[in-house]
Order: sequence, then C-alpha cells, then structure tokens
Amino acid sequence: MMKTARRFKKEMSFKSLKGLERQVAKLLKELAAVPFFSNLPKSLVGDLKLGILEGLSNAFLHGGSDARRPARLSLEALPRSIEIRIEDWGEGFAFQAALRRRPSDFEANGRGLIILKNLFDSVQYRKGRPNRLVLVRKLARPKKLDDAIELFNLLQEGIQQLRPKHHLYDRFLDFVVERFNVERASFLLFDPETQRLRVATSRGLSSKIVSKIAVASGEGVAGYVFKTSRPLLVNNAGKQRSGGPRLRRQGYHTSSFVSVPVIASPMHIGEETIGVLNLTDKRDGTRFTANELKLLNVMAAQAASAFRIRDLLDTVKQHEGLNRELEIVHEIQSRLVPEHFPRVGDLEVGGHCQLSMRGGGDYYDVIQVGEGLRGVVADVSGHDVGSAITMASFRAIFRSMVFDPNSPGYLQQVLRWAMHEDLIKLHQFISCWVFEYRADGELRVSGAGHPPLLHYQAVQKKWHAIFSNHLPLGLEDESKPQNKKIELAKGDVLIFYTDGLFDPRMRATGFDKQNFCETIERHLHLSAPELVREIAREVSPHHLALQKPDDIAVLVLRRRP
Amino acid sequence: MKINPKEVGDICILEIEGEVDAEHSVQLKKAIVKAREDYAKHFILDLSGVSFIDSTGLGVLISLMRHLNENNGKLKLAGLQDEVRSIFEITRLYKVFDLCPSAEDALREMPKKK
Repeated sequence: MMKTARRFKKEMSFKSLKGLERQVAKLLKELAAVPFFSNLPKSLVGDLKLGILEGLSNAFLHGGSDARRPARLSLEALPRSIEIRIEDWGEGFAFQAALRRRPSDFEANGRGLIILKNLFDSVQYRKGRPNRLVLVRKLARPKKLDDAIELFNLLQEGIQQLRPKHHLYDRFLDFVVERFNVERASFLLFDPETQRLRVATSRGLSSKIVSKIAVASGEGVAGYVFKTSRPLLVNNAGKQRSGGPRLRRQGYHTSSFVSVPVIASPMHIGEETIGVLNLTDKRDGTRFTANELKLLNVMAAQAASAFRIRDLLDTVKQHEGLNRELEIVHEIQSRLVPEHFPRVGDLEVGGHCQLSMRGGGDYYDVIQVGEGLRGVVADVSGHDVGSAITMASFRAIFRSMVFDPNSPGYLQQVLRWAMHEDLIKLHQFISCWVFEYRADGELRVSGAGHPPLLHYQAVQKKWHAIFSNHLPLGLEDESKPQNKKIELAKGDVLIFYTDGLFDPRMRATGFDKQNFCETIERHLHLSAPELVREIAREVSPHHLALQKPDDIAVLVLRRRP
Repeated sequence: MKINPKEVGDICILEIEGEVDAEHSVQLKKAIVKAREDYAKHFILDLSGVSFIDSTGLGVLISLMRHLNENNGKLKLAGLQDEVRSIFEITRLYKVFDLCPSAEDALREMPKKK
C-alpha cells in the first residue's frame, strides 16, 4: 500500500554550465509536484535555487568539473529538511580559510560561500576525491505541522482508549516539555467553585509550591492570561511594561516565560477559557520566540478540544436508563456544530443539521479569518460513537490549522495526513469540502469525495454543479492539492450539503434535487438563514418518512443582491 | 438485505440484494469475514440488486479493499445500478475500485487459481 509521499530525492550530473538554470528550475518544479512540498515558500525555493547554482558554478569555475568529470548534484527533501549535495573532482580548497576571508569590494570571487552560509542552516565541505559540498536547510513549517499532528494523535489515542482526564493532561504536558525543551511547566485549570486557577499537573516545580498555587483571575501572569484569554511572552521580567502582569517570584532562573490560554470553544455557549499553560526555563538558556508562542497556542487549542471531548464523554456516560450510544453521538454532534455564523461584508451564512436517530458524523464549521471566512462541510462514514468522535477530532484539527495562511487544498491535505492512520484503524472515511471566502467575493474550494456544490448564478439564472477533485480522507491521494475558484456574485447562492439531503429513497415521497432547486429559486429573496429554514421545512416530512434516515447537513452562502 | 455467497475456487462472489446501509452493513461485514476465513482470497460483489448504499456501506467496501490490497487479493464490484454508480462518482471512489458491468465479466478478469 502506498503512503503519502513525504520524501523526494533526485540525483543529476552536469557536464557544463550550459542550460544549468533551466535544469535547476525543472528540478525544483519536480520537488513542488510532490504534494508534501507543494507549499514551500517562494523565498525558500529561491534560496534552494541560488544555493544549487552557486555550488555548481563553483564546481565548474573552481573545482575543475567538465564533460569528462561531470559535477554531481543530489537533492533530498525530507519532512523537516532539504539537503543539497554537490560533488566535483577538482583540486578542492581550504573551506574554513575561505569562510574567514572577506573579499575586497573589487574582487570578483569569494562571496559564494558567504551567501551560502547566510542561506542555509548548515554548510559543510569535505575536500577529497570527490570534493563534497553539503547544504542543509531546515523546514520550519512542516516541523510545526508534524508537531501539532503528533500531539493530536497522542491525545486522540488517549480519548479512544477512554483514559482518565489526568492521563491526557500528563501526556499533553510531557509533550510540550519535550518539544520546547523546558525545565519547568505547569498546566493550571480553573476551578469554578473556588474561582481559582489550580495546578492540574506540573513538571520541575516542588510539591510545596504546587500545593500553594491558587491564582485568582487577573492575578499574576497566569491570572492575566486567563482573564484576557491572550497568550503572553515575557522575555525580560525586570523590564515589564507598567500596568502589565508581574512575573511572580517562584524561583525561576531565567527571565523568559510563556503563558497561553487553554480555550475550548463549544459554539453555542461561546468560547470558554478552561485554564492556562505556563512554560519557563529553557534548558539551552535561550529565550522563547514569537513563533514558539504561536505554536504553543495551536497546541493548547488542540489539547482544549481533546479535553472537551473527554469531558463530554464523561458527562454523557453518567446518563442512565437511556440509549447510551445514541445519546453520546447526539450530544457530541449537536454541541460541536455552530449555531451562529460570522458576518463578512455582504455575505450571509446559514446552516442546518438534521440528525437521524442513529446519529452520525455530519458536520460544518465556519470561522472568520482576517477579512474573510474559512469553513468546512464534512461527513464521517458510519453512524456510531466512533463516527462522532472522529468528527470531533476532525473539527479540532480544522480549528487548530484554520489560521495558517494556506489554501483550502493544502488545509484539506493537512486534515488528510492528520486523520489518515485513525481512519484506517477505525474503518472509516471522511468526505469534505474546505473553503475560503474573500471579502471581494472570490471563493476557493477544495473537495474530497463529497457531493457536488450547487451554485445558483443570479445573473444567468442558472444552477452550476461543482465536483470534488480529491478522494475522500482515509484513502491515499497522491495528487497535488487542488483548489477551484468560484466567483460568488451579488445575489448568488452556494449550497454545501451532505449526501442525506438527496437520499434517493426520498424520491418515492416526491423530493429530489430538482424540487430542491425549484424551492430555492422560489425563495431567492430570503436571507441565507431564512433559506436554510425553508429547506428544513421542505425536506423534513420526506426525511422523517424514511425508515432509517441518514443525517442531513446543509450550509448556505448567499451574497446579498 | 439478502446476501447469497457463491464459491468459485478461491474467489467469493457475493450477490447482494437490497439496501447497503448502516444497519445492513454489519451483515455484509460478517459475510465477508466468514468467506475470508473459510476460503476466499478474491472477492466479486455483485451489486446489481443493490438500490442504495450509504457511507457506512462504502466504509465496509473500503475496508475490504484495503485488506485485499495488503494480501494480494482482488476485489471487483459488478453490475452497479445508476443510483449506486452515481454515489461512486460523487465520492470519486470509482477511481480506486474496479467496476465491472456484470459478475460474469468480473469473473473472467479474475486471476486463475494455480
């Protein structure tokens, strides 16, 4: 069975400098064709190109490579780094001395190594037969994704095994302590009874200190972060801004400290900060960076979602005398689907989820990102607790990645990587649409095995179907992430739905796609939420008439005329 | 849902009739597991009598395909009605499953037992 490619390796030999740039550009295109490396920043691709050209030019101009003794290039891309090896058969040179040397303004040579040293994380040269130059560039983004996905899998496993909550807390804290290489860390949970933050688990703090910690909202750094729900990076405790939080003297030996809120977001009651995560004292003595704070924030959001799911399972398990499994499914599903949607410009959003008695994994979500929106509509196969938990996990991943500045196709691919192993283990798959709406009316969508979108074009008075371009999640899809552009003009309506909406069995009672489109056309004057209510009214009797109805989820986007 | 299994060497032909939904998928799964344990290396699912398949049913087919891929087995789906075929098209699963017009065609394309 093929796995999603996360590695690329190619070796080439060059007999002259002729056509070098074209060949290198072609090589980098091949690299970008591998889905995992398709979103490398342009600046990084530019650096790779420059590094290869510089190294190969050296091999010919100073290394003595020619048609008889071609220079060899090897490019190997791994999830966390890209390595370029260039070999030549010339005399070689004293690398360290060349690095120390600073060329005068009028010298033609001598700058290449300085450039390489600035562009790459590691530049090594070995003189010999052949001479070998090795350039390594670390990939920061995949590492971030890998870390976030690894944490997600770790927590997901804990949930599936119904481990106690404190077990999840410990796994979470151990993970961040290792990833951020810190000596001290604490995870504080808010106790509504005492109205204090107390330590749920910690590393590197004495039990005496831990037992004493009881922080009120707004008090100290943790209390401040809890109250404001905003992450905080303190890199010089002695020079804090007046009015800001004070770092409490608790024996920290560095002045670098990060604190992030752990926010769960059950949509129908608004966001809720459940605790605070503090890290301090990096083992290597360095300070925390803004990027690390951002990554920690993503991880805290993932953990909060996992803790929330675990809480829900506990709550529902306590219900007695009811059909337990269905209760769990309904509880999870209904709590995680949003009831209110963000408003952006003249775009209206309406959503409706009709759960069947058996429950399932239909889901949609819409989040405001900057001036636009990002959203997803998905359907997890199956109708049991497993489907509902998978849906909740999908939501957690989507929400933790939604702010990354990547295309819907890339986001869909991240979801695919993250969910793949679980879906195989659980014999499930997920079909979905991921979309991004910009304030100027441009919509980009990427579909994975999901029913087509229905786009009503107001000017032409026509319906247009947009089909998925990828296989469902849970199946290997080696193709490059694809996005489709949709111009959503004023008065246009776009409908996302799950397969239950056009269950062919409802034709017997007179409901099909044509009726549906006619209903929409009769009510084009209505707003998106009103349209959704009309859809629900229209489909409900047919849906209820089925012996074993499937779930239905409908999400409507409409631009006001 | 009715399932009628037929044995042709190491090939199991399952003639399925009715709706392959969440409730009946368990029945289909059991029939597949039994055939696998007893003799079957390859499967032909004759879906000419299937009027409806939902995501749970597709999940069972995907699991079977994964299992057979890992064990050098073949899976062919035969005789899909238009409704069922359109579900495979919507989900793009027609790309990963081997679809044949009829069970007879599927049988002809199966590897012969040595």
